Amino acid sequence: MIESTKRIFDRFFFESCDPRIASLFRISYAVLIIVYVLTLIPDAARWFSDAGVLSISSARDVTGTSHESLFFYLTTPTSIRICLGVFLLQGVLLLFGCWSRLQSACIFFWLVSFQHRNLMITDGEDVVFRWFAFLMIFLPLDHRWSLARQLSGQRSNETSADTWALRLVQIQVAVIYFSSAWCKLLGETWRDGSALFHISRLDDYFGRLPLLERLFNEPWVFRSLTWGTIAIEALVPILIWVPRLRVPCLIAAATLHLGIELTMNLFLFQWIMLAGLLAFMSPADLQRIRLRKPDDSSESPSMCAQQTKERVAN
Amino acid sequence: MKRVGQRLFIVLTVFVMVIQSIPDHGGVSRIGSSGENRFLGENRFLGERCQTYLDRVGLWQRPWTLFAPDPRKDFGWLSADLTASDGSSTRWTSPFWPELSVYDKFVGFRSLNYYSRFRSPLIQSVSDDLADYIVSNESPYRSTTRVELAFSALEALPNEETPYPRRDETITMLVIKPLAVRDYDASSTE
Repeated sequence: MIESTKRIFDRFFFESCDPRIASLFRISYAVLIIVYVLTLIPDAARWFSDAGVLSISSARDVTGTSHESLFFYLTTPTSIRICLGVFLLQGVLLLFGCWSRLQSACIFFWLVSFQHRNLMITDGEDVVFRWFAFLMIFLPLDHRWSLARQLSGQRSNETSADTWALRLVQIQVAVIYFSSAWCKLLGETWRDGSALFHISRLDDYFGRLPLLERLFNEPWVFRSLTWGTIAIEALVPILIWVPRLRVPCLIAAATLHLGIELTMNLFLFQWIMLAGLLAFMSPADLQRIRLRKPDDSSESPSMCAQQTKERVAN
Repeated sequence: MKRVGQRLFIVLTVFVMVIQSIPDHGGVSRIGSSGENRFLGENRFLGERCQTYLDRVGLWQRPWTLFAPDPRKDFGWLSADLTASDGSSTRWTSPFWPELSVYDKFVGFRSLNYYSRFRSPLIQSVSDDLADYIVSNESPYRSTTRVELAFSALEALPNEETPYPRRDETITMLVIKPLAVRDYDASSTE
């Protein structure tokens, strides 16, 4: 019993993910983190310095005493701008695949420090960025499309066995959907189908496309969309693990995020979730979108599995 | 040995992810609001020591509310009445989001998050800090002697005849919540 559980566990985490997906995930994450930092730079002093809107003592009260931040100690606008500059540079290095695990560790540190310094400007997407950065520390991010690897002429020998943290990214994405569906089912407006009507009246977040906005006057539209949202968030994290249903689940989740992006102003949340969905891609998907050369037999799924087995045997 | 360590790490990470995301039925509405003057409600499934450790290392997350359990039904903004030493006064207001372009809303998203937080009760020093910041950075006066900060919101009222009114038929009520009143020496803000 224990042995068979261990086998299933190992097959799931150590023998089924393609390391190229980790590199693809790295690139999409890096693009988003660069945008994330660029939007912080103009208001750096206002959000994070001692001359800003939140004093250190208030920030500590807001977050709780156990949270730590570098910016409880570095408090001047100049030092904060310098740190954001380094953060940005590390985002660029991550994009080009230069010592990406180190960059991920540093990005995680920056995210923790900036978020803990001013929790009032953050929301769910900041948590996703932070967790993804943490999980990327354990991924073979420079397996492909890496400038540092190209310049050094080294060939990657990473296999599925090194890509177990991609499963953790997938689980994190599934947890977000499931938790969100659960929270929604506790609300009366989500259960009676009127939640999206009320959301469509939020003048600050809603209203990117006025034409779509009119649709939300029709009860059958907002009720179907409300219940559809709950259905997607509740079912995708369960059904996405069934191989035959993986692609329909990915399409449903991506449609949900693109729909929200079309109608609402929620900064990068939809895009970081779409990046998270990339973690569910398979080698066959890569082939479909032609990210793999037809003659690249050294990295075929069967070759990856073979290398993995050899490693496990050793 | 390495594989055993990896297995342990995986199990622990998944446990931490899942346990922190389970909605606490009493706590969902508290998260993101005032719960004990903090944004982060306590997780009843994890011991305090364990949660404190996760908070410290930045591996915390909370239930993913995302407009749950119920979306709010108001539109709010901040205003500050500034009084100068000569008795003249002016009003500062936070950005009026519906009038901003898509680009400005995107770039100013952090401001939207920040100002929205004042909808919920906060510790007093947060409002005082903002009042001080406005006096230092937004006041047109050489010396400001008083600032009165408030959060205003247009709350949609329930309508039994038309529960889902069109935008222009929505009945709203203006609610003003005073946040801070700060007095300054004329010399200190010059």
